[in-house]
Amino acid sequence: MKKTSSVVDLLLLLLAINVLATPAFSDLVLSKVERRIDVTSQIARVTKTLKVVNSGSESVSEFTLTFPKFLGNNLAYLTVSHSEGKGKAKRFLANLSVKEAHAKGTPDSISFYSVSLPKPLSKGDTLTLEVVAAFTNVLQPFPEKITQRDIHLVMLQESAQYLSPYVVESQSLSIKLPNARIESYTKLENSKVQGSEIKYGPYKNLAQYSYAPIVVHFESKAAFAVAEKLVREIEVSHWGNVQVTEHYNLVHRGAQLKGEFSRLEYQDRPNPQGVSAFRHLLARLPPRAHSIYYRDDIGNISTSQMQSDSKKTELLIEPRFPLFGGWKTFFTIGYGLPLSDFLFASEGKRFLDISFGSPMIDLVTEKLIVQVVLPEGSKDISVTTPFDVKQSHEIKYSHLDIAGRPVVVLEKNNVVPDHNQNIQVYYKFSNINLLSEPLMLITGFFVLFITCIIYTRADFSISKSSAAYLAKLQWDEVLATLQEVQNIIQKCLAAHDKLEASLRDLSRTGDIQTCKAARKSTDSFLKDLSKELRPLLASLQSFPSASQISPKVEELVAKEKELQEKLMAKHTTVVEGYEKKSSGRDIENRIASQQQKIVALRQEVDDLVEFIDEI
Amino acid sequence: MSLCEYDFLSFLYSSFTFVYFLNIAFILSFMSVRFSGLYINLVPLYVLVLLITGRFVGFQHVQSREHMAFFLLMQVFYFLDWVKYQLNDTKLFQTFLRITVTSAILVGAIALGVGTASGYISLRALPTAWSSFMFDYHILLFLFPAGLYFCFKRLSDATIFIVMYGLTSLYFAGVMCHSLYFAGVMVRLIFVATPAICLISAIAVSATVKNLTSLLRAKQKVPQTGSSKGPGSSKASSKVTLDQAQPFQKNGAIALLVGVFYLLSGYAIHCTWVTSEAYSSPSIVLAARGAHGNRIIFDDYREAYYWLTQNTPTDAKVMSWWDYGYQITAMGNRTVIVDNNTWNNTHIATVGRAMYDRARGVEIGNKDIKLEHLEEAYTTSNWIVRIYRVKPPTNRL
Repeated sequence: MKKTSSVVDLLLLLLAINVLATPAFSDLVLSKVERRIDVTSQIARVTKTLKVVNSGSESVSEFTLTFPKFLGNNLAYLTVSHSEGKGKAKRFLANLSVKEAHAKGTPDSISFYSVSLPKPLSKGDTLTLEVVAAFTNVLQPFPEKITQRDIHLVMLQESAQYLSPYVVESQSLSIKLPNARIESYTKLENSKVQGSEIKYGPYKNLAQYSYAPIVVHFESKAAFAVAEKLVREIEVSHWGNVQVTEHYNLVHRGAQLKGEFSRLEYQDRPNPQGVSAFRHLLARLPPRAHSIYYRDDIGNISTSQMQSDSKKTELLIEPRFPLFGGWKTFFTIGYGLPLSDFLFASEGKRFLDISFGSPMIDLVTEKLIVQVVLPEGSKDISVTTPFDVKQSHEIKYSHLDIAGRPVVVLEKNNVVPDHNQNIQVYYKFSNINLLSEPLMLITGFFVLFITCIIYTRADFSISKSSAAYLAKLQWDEVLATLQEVQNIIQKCLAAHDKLEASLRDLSRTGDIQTCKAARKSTDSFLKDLSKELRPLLASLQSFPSASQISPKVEELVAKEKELQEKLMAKHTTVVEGYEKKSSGRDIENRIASQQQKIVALRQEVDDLVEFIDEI
Repeated sequence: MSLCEYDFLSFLYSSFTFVYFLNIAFILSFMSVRFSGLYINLVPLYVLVLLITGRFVGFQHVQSREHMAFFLLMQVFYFLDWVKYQLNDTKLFQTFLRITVTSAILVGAIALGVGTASGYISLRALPTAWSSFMFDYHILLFLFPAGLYFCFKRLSDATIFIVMYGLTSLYFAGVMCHSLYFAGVMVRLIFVATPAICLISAIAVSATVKNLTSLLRAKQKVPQTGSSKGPGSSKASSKVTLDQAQPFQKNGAIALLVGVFYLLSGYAIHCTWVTSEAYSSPSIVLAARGAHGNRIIFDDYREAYYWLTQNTPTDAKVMSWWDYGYQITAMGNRTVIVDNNTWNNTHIATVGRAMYDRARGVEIGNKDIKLEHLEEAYTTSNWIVRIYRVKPPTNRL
């Protein structure tokens, strides 16, 4: 196995170093070191409490942390803080800045990190440092290929004695394992198992760089879900929404599955086989997340559940198939967030305060790319992050964009859930730019409508004497004439109605004189109208394109005239009847036939009017 | 020229149904052609097209009744046109048309009755159930006869065509049976009749709405009050009653219009519901109702295809029955051995022989199965798709 040989190398090297005893780090003494390693999930979290005593003569302002290289390469997250008090009264004070440092003459198989102390530690003073470190990929699946029925065994290699360039007076180590089988562990002096914890120590008075390799082989029930690549796009829209879209390339980085996958055994109750696989992933989204979708290349995935309350929105997703070792999948999760929860203003600038990593709990991301898309017109963009990221700028073209939207691209490798802290993106945006999109749309439609108006009203004919143009002009005139004819006919019909009304008045009031007067006025009115009609008819006949219509119009006029005459005759008869004081029935009989004809004629006239209407 | 075009298109589609709809195109083109020399030209053209396309899609379409029916329809239309030309009188022609259509319906009804009585047509085999007519047509069922009436009232080329189309396609949908081809897929013939039925019903609705709205827009005559006095009293009284009826007429018209709009909106809602419930089920995602009425989704196919995409080597070859070929290619992104467009029957037969089943006549629950050359790679969560991997051959030594 490669790793143990490297451990052996390291051991030999350290023995050599012990002999040489580089003088650079000898002033400080660690009076008490307590280490706790938590390997219940796929990440190894190491928490160390170091009591530092300056036993030298000069004040020291730097402290050096070391890890063996195979751990240091997989270091994902490291914070160091200092604390005061002990037990329940412990207070954690500010985080200290940590830098990777590699002084000359130090061996290559150790990673060095230099911590700047808050104030120089003078002679005889003590300081308590709290170190939290998270390592990925240090839980090696062993055996590396397992069948569906096997349990998932992993191996952790560490050192029972704290590797440090300083002398350690007293130290202890406890490893918290998941509540499952412990296959084996290195038995040293002072080592014991308590429930699911292995305790090594306390060891006293160890020299610099002392190292005692241990190997713990145990069963892990954690889901080894690793996102090979996660692209997280955060799009800010000043219309009130922050849209987050995440694309996951998920893989199971535990022991690979060899052999077959039997669904029968996987679903068997009470002993389902396939404990090394995982099915669910839980994502904690901010509260008031809306429009959540979960899909992949081939469509929507319906196996998901959402539960929201006022503090968070929990999304439980199930990929299309359970993930066994070596299996991978790809999906996209998108959701919208209200802008007011994430965008704030300070000193004339706006800033977006949003979480950096993936919202999934217990997910390790090997390559994380966060793209923050700001609205068009944003300037002076700067990003503040609590840890190192690689920044770059891009342009994205989206709806109604002219210059494009500025995108800040933040990249980080080896991201663990401890990195899910807030980052701030500062930018300047003047409120006038908010109107640019609506104005663009308004202008567009306005220009379109103006063009339409001009096009329909302007005369674009190239030749004023072409046959088509002249024909169009003529047709317009025909229509105008028809309209006038229609108006006159309507007036005639109105006059007929008035005449009928006067007859009814007569039957009501018996006033013959008014009736006669009405008749006279109607008569003259109708005569005027027919006079107006004549030139119109003449002009209509002169148009060749109206050749089909003019006979109909003439027919209409003729019928109307007939109707007129009949009505007049009827009127005369009725009035005469009244003057002679003959009975109503008499009058009725006399005008009966006339009335019939009038009704028929009226119907025909109406039909013709309708026909002309439809032209 | 058009001949070549049609043949090329039918070759591309290699679909029997395409030729079927092509006939509709033919009919429409015939419509615009007055009979004379062109008619003589188009008939043989049509026959030629049928024969040549038959070379590509098999000769079913020549043999099938649907195509013959459309050809017949075309001939009928021309016959009617010729009769109209001969008679030269609209009224006579309309009477002639009424007589022929009524007699055709009568003959059809008698044939149906006789056929049923003599057992020649078994009612069991009547393909389209009346309930499915109601399901698909809803209010069109009673609007259609009303529309027929309006069509006859205003005869013109357009109305004659639509009446003939509607009646003949209804005839097919409701009465035709016998050939195996028809027995299983009757519902489609409802869709054949649908355009005509819709148009005729629309004529009915439009005529009704027009009459009602013209009532609403009629000018208000001066309402008469008071007694009839003296001469002209009966005339005046009749006028009075007429005037008094008018306000109610207006209210009645408004009420009827509201009723028509309610009917139409109900129809639109019904159609949307029918389409979503009965005609929108994708066959790749299956859905069912659980014991408590909750909806259960079976997304097994996509689950299996996605597993193929993600967890098999990119040069893997997949052997499946050809029904799934295109789906695996599209969603699984892997090469398949046979797919939906494989014309080589021997190739498909070879795959079929490789997959011949040994499950017939075997006792269920055979658990001690040992696979020699395959191992199970993946099975979907509801057991619909099972994927097996070919094991590398064992060493002989």
